[in-house]
Amino acid sequence: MLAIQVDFSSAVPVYRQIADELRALIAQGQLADGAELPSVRDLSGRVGVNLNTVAKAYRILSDEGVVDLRHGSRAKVQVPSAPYRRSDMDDVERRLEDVVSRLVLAGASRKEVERMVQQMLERFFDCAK
Amino acid sequence: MEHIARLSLAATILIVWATVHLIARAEGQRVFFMYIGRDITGRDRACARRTRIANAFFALGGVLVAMSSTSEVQLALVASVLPLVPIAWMLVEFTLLSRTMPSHVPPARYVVPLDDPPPWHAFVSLPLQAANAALVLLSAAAFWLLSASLPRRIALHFDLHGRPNRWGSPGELWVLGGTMLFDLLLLWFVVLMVTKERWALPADRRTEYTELSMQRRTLIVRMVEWIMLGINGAMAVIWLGVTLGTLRPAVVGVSIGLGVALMAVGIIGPMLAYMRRLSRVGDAMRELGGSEALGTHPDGWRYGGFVYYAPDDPALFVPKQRGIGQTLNFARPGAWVFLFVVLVLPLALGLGGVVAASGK
Repeated sequence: MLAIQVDFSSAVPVYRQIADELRALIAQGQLADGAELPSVRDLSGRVGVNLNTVAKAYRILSDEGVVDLRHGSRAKVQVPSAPYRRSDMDDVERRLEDVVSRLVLAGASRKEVERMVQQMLERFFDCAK
Repeated sequence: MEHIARLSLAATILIVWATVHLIARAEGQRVFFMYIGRDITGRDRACARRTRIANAFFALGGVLVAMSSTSEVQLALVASVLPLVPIAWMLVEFTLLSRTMPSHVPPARYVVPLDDPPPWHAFVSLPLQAANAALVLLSAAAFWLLSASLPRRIALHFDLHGRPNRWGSPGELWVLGGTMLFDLLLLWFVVLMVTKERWALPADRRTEYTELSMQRRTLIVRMVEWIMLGINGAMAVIWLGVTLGTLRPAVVGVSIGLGVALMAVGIIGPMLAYMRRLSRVGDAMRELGGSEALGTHPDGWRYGGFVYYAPDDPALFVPKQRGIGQTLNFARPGAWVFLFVVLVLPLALGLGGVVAASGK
């Protein structure tokens, strides 16, 4: 089942959550290159949020180059063909470091963190392509 | 005729009694079929018992007045006010009870499928829909055939003693057919409202939850299909009975009596058959980490979870948080337009009619 998750109790804004969920589906290959995303109105009705919230999520993905936004037509997935730039990797590293710090402070052991990362890698690389 | 009018009034009172008696229960975590968020206590049982006793008391009193009173004013008062008393009693009991309910909001985290949801026709029963539509069409055809043999002026309204107090053209009886058509439109409105409801699932056990959600929607649609079939069957009997009654007056009383009885069975029967099943499905949804109102904004529920006000939620109708069925999102202007059309406008038109009639 192709689905996205939202959490109104999270500190992460809903538009960011929608963008993150769609990005993960694209990275896992569940939303293939060229696949049409639901229209902004349709997705806002399905999720139960304002039109602007979904539009903002689509704009984030468009700025990252994983979604093609064209006026008058539905947003389409475009899997970037160029490798990540060094500046992008820096940002990802910072975010990973933040996640690991939170896990360590929450009391997770090295093994638990490794297992979590391993499971996630399997989910992405087994699903993709 | 007078006898039939009294019996119809008594039957109406009994319909209300049976409906309230059916709803006034405390079982599991529900009082009056409303989810209270905790196990029921002796106090909840007493609340339901009090409502049943008061309901029986008012129904008995109403039936006695209906069968014995000679004052038309007294009868009119019984007909218009008494059926509302047990319902008001139940509302007051529940409002007092709501103070003891723990605050309860639907889970803030949910999953939204991106696949197309099941179409509206996956939830309807084609035989019931066809029967409803056929009933309206056949009644209209029968009335049209009968109306050719009617006199140009017929009695349209009767006093308590069965004496006509308003005359008019047979064409005015089409208003009863209009009521049937309105019921049919109301049925389709409910079907669309329920089937277009948001698909929101808990993070885990999504397949099981989807099945429960499908079941819940199907049960609501089926209950309304049966209720509308019962109401329209009763309306058809009354419509054709009143039409035939202009040729044979004895038929009017029988058809009204039969129509009221059919309406009672048509409303109470489906409620009896479906309300408990709907409660069970709702409870099963909660056990899987969801709720009927999953997919609504937790901050939007106000006044103990009875009013929904969520400006960021584009939905006009949302599932009730504690009860069975749907409620309005009062942050949408459409909700106020809807309330105006279904409550204020008919009331204003009715009052206008009464004022105009009394001025004549």
